Amino acid sequence: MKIGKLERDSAAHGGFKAQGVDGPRGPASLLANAKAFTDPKENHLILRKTAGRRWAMVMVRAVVRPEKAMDVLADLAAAGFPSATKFDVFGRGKQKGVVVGDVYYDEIPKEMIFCVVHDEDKEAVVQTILSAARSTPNGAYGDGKIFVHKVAEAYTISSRKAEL
Amino acid sequence: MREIIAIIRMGNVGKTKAALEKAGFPGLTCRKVLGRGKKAADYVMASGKPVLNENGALSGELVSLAARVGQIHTLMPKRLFTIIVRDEDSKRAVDAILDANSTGKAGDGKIFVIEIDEVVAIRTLERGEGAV
Repeated sequence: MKIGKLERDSAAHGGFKAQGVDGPRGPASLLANAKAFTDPKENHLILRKTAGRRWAMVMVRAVVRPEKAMDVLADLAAAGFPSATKFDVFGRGKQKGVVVGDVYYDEIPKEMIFCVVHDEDKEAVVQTILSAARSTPNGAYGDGKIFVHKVAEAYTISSRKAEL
Repeated sequence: MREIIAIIRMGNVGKTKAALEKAGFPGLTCRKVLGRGKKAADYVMASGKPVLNENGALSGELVSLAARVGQIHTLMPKRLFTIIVRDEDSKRAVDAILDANSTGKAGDGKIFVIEIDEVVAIRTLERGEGAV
């Protein structure tokens, strides 16, 4: 059996072209989200959480399919969690990679998305990622994993304050 | 031990490395990431135009700008630093990163501090604080 190496498909990698101009996650819906962040009335979600209180925080790390990464980010923003960081990773899960024909792929390209949120928002973030990242209604092998762990401190560099 | 994850501007890597080395933290991991913060739609700021028109709707120029640049511009390229320090050094390391990166403007980045239970040095097989 040959050992294959999966290359990142530049179209699938960002998926930007495929999700282009229309559709539920196109610029129109992003602009609707943008309004939510600029309209003070809609902005309460963010303001409420940064009103000077210190909260317990968690980091949610999700390994998702590359073609689902932008969907996850769009849904997180729509749910009121715009802050996130994304990078490319390669990995395998319980299925030990995939076999396509007679080629065995040991490492499969995925995208890691992580965000730090207040403890009370953990469930909302996890559910948002779960619903956006599953490739079929019942889920499929390779849809990824979510890991959650505690964050002791968080600092905003611009203000030097210990808050999100 | 504590893991310090700092997301900073692309151009500040050298400055941050120098600041950390000066503070006594030469070891670090750095990688390229894409990210966004509380201000979600970067093209809104990038356009330099008023976001809402007099009717309270998004101005037409923004709609065409967003259609042109697509979704990738909602994420900005950043650099992610990871360093592992002893508990008592955590504040010094955070201050060093803050001093090197704080300009007071949105987009400076974030620092997260996470508690680590175990560290193993692969070469010496040493565990715990000595391995940091």
